[in-house]
Amino acid sequence: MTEPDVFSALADPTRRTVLEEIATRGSATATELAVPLGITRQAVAKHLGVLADAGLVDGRRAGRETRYTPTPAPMGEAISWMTEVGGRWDERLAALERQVARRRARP
Amino acid sequence: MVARDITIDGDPDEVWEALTDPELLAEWLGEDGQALVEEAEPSERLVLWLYEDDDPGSRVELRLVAVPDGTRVTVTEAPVGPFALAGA
Repeated sequence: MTEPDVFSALADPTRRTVLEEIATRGSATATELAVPLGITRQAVAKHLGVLADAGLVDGRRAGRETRYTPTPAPMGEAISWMTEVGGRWDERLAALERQVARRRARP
Repeated sequence: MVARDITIDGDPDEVWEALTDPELLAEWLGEDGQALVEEAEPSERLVLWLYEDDDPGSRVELRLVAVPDGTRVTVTEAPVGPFALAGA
């Protein structure tokens, strides 16, 4: 599982809503999500496929439908990447500010 | 994607000079880091690719905008996917 898959999967606002809805319900099928989200079952199924490929949800056959549950792990990886990289930039921007101040102080 | 910003006391030309100072870049990248410049518009915009070891790296965009108290520097960093490398 690579970070970009998670990010591109989460880049779509409808897909984020789909994931949020599954997380809220604990588990859901495409049919169960179609009505509350106001999109077709087929569209939901497509979004679920992308989320599953990114490892964000886990699909299990249940009769004629697939039931999806959220998998928190890759979400955690994405968040830890953002925290780590963000922290590095806080330091780098502070270093840039110091560098400007140093250069200004030079005669 | 990660986004950060800072307002620095100094005009965009001064910030640009500090930004492109090798001393700063060495401090930013550490021992193993490498950077490749994709685009540089002096005092306005710098696009970099950052690498580390075998890591495919990420794309960084820095923008400088003059504001009343100095220069607003915004930075965004986005990871690069295997598909992006394949397309390069």
